[in-house]
Amino acid sequence: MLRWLGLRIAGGVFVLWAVATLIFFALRLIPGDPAQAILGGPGSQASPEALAQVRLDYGLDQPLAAQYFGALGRLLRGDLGTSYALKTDVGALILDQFWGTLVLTLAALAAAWIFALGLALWTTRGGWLSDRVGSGMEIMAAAVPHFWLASVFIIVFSSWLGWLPAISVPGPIGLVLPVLTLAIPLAGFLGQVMRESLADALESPFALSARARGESETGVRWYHGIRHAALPGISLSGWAFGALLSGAVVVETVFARPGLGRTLLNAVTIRDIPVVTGVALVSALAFILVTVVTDLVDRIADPRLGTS
Amino acid sequence: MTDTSASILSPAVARGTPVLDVQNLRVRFGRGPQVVDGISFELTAGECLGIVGESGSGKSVTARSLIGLAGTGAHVETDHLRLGERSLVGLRPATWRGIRGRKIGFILQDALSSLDPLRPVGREIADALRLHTRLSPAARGVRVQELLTAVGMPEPHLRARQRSGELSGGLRQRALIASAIALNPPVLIADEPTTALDATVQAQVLELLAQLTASGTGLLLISHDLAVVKQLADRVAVMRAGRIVETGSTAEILEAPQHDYTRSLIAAVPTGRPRGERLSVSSSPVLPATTGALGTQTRPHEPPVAPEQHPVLDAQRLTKVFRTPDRSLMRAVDDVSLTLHPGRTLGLVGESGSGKTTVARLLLALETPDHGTVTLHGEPWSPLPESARRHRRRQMGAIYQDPSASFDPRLTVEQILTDAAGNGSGGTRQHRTRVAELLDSVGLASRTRDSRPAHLSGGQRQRVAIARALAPRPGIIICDEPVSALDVTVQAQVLDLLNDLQQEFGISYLFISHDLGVVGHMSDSLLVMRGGRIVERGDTEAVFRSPAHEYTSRLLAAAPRL
Repeated sequence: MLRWLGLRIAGGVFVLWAVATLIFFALRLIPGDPAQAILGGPGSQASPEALAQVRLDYGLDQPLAAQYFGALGRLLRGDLGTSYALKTDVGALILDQFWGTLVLTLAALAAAWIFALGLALWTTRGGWLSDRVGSGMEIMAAAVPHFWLASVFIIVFSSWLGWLPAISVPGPIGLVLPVLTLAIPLAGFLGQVMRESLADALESPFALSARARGESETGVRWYHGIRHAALPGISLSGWAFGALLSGAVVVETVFARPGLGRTLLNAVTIRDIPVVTGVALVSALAFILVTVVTDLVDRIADPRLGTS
Repeated sequence: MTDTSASILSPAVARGTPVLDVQNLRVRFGRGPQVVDGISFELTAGECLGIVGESGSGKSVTARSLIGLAGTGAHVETDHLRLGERSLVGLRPATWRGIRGRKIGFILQDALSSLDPLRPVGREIADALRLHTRLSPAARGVRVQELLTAVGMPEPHLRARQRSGELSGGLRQRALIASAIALNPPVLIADEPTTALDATVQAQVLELLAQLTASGTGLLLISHDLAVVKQLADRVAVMRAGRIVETGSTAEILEAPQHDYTRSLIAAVPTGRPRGERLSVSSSPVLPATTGALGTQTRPHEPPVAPEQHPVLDAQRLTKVFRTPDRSLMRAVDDVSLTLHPGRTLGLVGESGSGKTTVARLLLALETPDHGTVTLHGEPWSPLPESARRHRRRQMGAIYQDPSASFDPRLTVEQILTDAAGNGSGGTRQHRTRVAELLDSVGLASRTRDSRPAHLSGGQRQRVAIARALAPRPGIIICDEPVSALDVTVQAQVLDLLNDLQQEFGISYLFISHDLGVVGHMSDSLLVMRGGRIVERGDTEAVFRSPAHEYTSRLLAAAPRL
């Protein structure tokens, strides 16, 4: 187990390095002068002297290799650089925005799990009809795009009913609509795999054994079904977290909610390279961590993985 | 059995009292035909009633109807169904749950899938106690240890924490039995409790069930194999197509069978039957015309080619080492030499994990040996680059245990056979003739050609697999557990077919099985394999008469016979 964990962490470090390298060179391919961007974009009409000074300050006059290793070295020290636009430390900026996004995505993941498992348990309870209805609901949920769902929620729950705020406000009440928007499509995906493995488990010989022992249908689900249903969901959750992070860009923008997603969108628009790099790296790090955690949970939930 | 286990295992019912009484049980699914068509029987305490019949005869549905779990859409009707004094007709679900596990224990075939693969077996056993007693979790744990000890589980405290996948076949079947008898139910239903187990393990499990009946449990033992039922049953009911065609004491059924079907079940048991004697009753409509109506008479087995000729396949000192998941090395095959002569059958017998299948894969050159060589028709065969070997692959065929897994499910039988016969994509008259020939030689009706394997019965599928192996006209066929997934009656037909084909085409077989009875019936000479090594070899009759190795004697003693 420790050996496996060590390998996973080493793999994660490698992925982080690859992400940093990829972003560094990809951003150099974007046309335009970074120095110009630092001074407020092409419209700012900065003087050649100012541009030269900026190139010197930011090390942009040095060879590409020197810039690359300089950037890597700063990364190793945890220094993500300074935002071009805000002139503040990128690390502090991201830390400031990160919690909002983390709360949003984790809440969405939890909600998606509850919806998916609940739907799976409900549909396998009934007969053929509830199975069809459940499957239809999952496909619809999985197919709905975030921006559309967000707009519908705002129209229905904010404009018509006036129950919930359209613009995100601090506190749990402001979290409801963004979380639902992110959770519902994911619940569709998770629900499909969970319902299938739950149905398989309930049809299996060990479920028959349990019933022959005197176990009730609820008991068969609780002691045997749920765990089998959860396995593919756990495996998918690492991927799901990544999908939620990218979904957060849309949701945070639509609900005007502060967070990494919106920070990233703004930074890309004004070509604030250090911020883009920083957000991408932090997202990659979070994704890697969550993947390791889901794999770990997967191994605890399915002990067979450890032995074979 | 020790005193403690006797007290643990004995239900509080006096021997000879009726514990289960079934009158005119009828089951059908939806608007379908009667799967169980009016069967009646009685079971008393301490008695074992065997129900014998082939798959699809309604045995399992009968068993499940007795605990109210016939399945979705089942219509179950009876004149009466009594458990002791109590009627089981029209019970509410909650009442049924109080009976299942507490009054009637149920053991399914194959404990690997009948115990939850994600939970320790101890938890599965404790579940029965949780459902029917007020014992505290700690007290349940103690009782689980007692039960595991009573079913003969070594190191019960360790085993209770292991999952079914971590236990051997015999041990997990014991755990499953422990979970079924946790509440000392007066009635125990065992549905094929030893199918898929090696003979020695099967003997141990049957011994355990015998102890349970001896201590007063009424046992309903369901199996397709009369030789298994015979070991335990006081009375036998022979079931076919939803009806009991014959019932009587075990001795009556075996010595004076009244019904043709019972006779065919008796004839199908291969153990102790000399080579060449037919096992199947040839009135079966699918038998090939070439075999004629031979009945069950003995036909002397004459190899069509003299054995002095050069061997067709010769393996010298094969060794194959695998790396196990925990990184240690395992010698799956260790210094194995064997020689296959033209037109003869070489039997290879051993329990699961003994390395039999690896030997088959080495001979088929699907694995490269770490040491040793294989020679085919006097020319090098393995190790050799695949390109130097591929054109000769048609000289060797293979038949496996599970034919459904070895067919592309989208292909029809005709496509499978045309593909195997090679040369061209099929459709010509020549191809159609060849397919017709092949179907005829394995005794399949010509209308089978348009079926897909999934729609055929297990026996028909194995016939298709044999036809596929025959298609390129090989001189050698490697048969790896070819009948292990089949009922004894179907097994008998397939074994007879293999012998007929050998007579007709002079094919050499390497016949691999865990079942010494089957191998003994099929082979001219015999290899006994254990832990990757050959522990005994010789002429089949000689080995059976006087086994030299202690392990062979044990296998012989364990083989169920009539």
